[in-house]
Amino acid sequence: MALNAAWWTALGAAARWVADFTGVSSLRDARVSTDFYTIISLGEFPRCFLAPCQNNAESQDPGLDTGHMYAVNLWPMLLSCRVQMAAAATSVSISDSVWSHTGKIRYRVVRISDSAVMGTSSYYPATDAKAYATAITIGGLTAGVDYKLEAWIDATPDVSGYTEGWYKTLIEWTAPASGAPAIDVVGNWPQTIYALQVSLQGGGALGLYRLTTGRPQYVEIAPQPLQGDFTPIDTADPGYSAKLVTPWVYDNPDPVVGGAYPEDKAILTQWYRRDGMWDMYHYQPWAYFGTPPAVIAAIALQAGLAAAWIDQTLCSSADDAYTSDAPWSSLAAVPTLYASRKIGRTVADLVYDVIRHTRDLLAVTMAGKLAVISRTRPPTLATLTADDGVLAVEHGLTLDHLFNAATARFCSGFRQWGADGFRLDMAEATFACTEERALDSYAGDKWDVACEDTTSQGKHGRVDLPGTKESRIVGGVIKERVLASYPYWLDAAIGQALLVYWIGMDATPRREMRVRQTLLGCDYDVGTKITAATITGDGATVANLFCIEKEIDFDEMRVDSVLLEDPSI
Amino acid sequence: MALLLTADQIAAIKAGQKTRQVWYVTVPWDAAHSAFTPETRFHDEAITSPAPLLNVLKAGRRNYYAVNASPMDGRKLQRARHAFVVRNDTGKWYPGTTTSWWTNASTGYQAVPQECRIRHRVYVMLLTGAWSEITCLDFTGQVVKCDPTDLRRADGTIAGDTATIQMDAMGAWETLAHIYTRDDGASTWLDVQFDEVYGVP
Repeated sequence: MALNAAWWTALGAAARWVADFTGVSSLRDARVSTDFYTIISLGEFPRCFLAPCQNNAESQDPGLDTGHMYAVNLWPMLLSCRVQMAAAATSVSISDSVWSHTGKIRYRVVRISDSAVMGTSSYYPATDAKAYATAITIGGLTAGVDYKLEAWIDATPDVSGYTEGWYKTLIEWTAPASGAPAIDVVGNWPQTIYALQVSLQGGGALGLYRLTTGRPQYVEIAPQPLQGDFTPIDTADPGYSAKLVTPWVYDNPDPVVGGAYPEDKAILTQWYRRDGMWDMYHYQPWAYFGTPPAVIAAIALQAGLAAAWIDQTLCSSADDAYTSDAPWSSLAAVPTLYASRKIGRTVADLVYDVIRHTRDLLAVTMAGKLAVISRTRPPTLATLTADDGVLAVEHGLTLDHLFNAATARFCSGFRQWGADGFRLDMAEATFACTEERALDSYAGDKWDVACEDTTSQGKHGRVDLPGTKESRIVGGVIKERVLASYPYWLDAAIGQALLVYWIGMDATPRREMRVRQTLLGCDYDVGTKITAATITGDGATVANLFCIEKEIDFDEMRVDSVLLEDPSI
Repeated sequence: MALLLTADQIAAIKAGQKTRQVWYVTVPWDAAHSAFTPETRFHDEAITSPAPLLNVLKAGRRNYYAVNASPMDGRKLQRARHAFVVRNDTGKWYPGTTTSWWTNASTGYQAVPQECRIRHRVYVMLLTGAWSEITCLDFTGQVVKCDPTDLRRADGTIAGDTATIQMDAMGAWETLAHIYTRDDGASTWLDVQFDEVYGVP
């Protein structure tokens, strides 16, 4: 998917919605359009579900389908619905409603400024049920006004301990101006629940969200042995028992339907495997999926960076390169990666982590914009000559970038995403894990690849790609190696291709030039490729240099640039 | 050539035409930073009299980096940082006075330097005699600090008061500097895996 104008428009719109929804506890999942779903849902909105919750409240054997995540709710509440805003922003339609106890549902829209009720629907459906697919439309809205959506579930019979009434706000929104793109919000609202981590094949992954202070609070889930786990039933295939065990959080008591359970708690609990249900579901908010430039743009947008501060032209061009340019075009899979934010690290750290999985350049340009500069499609200056205000040049060969041996681990830990027929557009990120029923991605060396250039080693000695030193026993012999890690890639095939590509660039010394110019040096930014530089005293032309540093002296009005040769192009 | 500069600008620079730098300070409206005043020009090399005075004694420099030049490239993404020196004979660079540059002229709010922004723009005079802005050098920075100091002659005597102002690029970097916390979504098992098992890549 190219990052064309529509991408930026939609993603920018989504970013604004993120801002609008900040602090709104009930937003669970949202998307702008199918095209952007993977990024939007994974990266653009925090606290979203990757898979829809469905009611599992009253059945111990609900006959679950592959590809769905199931929740137990202890109170009659809305579990899921789809909210579609009309393009003119004058009405909303709520469809595919699912709730936990038999009864009816109705919705209303309330203007936030004065709590005026703009419209209340009738109860649906005519006959008590726990779902209603037909759209319920509430009109009379005005573009640009803030509203919220509420629901009332009339359970029959009444549920002991539950007082019926208008639910807490499901979503709030500022209606876009007339003519703005329709916003399609899919909400899963087990009230006040946030799933923290979901779904491991054959086992139960449990997540709990508890609303105690009016804003979301999260608890980190870490693997714990057999605490609160629901063991899968099947014993025919031991693979089914392979699972991660997820702990209860907040010392959650045993789930007892109808028991004394505070309203601000709810649980997601076990689901039962079905044949072919070998898929690992994974809930990871603030996670990003796509080509490296798209991921970086999504990270920045979600972090609140206005689209104007991202060099959209460069990012879009870099994105295009991943579908057309070598070595990507020679790979069977579209090169996509997966990244997630990490607590305690900065946004800059994260985008750097992403870019180091590539050979693209990353910069904040002279204009202050974040830019991903494609190695194969950079902004290009055809020539640089002495006539271009060149005052002085230092040049030589540098070994700083040379390596000629590499062992690296790719794709660590990423497995099946979604299931057949329910991939949420994640098809390209899907691993065929049907042959691996245990979560063993972190074990062994199956994701490791190695590459070396013996000719270069003969000239320069062995220089390893930096990584972690480790010792392994192979055939009774201890072997040491330096292992680099590139875990964000989702496709195992990419590893070998990347290492070959990289070592082809970096196994030889590079020319490096330090050029001092007049203000004409401002004609090109960092990241610019200079196709041919003829600025040395010997008259030689050096091809394919990238500007990797620039210093502008405003007293002398001169510009110093560092140009690094890229011999592979 | 002619990638970021215009052909006219290139011709002017090659001909050695004059350049001009203009500096502005922007002060918040109030302590809540609900708004900022329009940019107040405190230096303009094309205007020598009357005010605004020529305040900038040393214009300083800025650095930019494109990282990931290779897998061996250990350089990290950096913000552009710019330090420059201004005259402070009048004391207007000291905060806490009603006439300081850090005081909002409209509301009287006396900001500290770190609440304020500095904008720096560069122009070149075209061969036609008109000023033309080099837009790729338009820079706005958040003030990091303002250190008063003295300007000394070669013999060590004080020639006047000065101040060194340091600012960091705004724009993209403001967001990039954000540190993720638990409020930024749920922490996950994969976080643990990467950080504890493999180390942060």
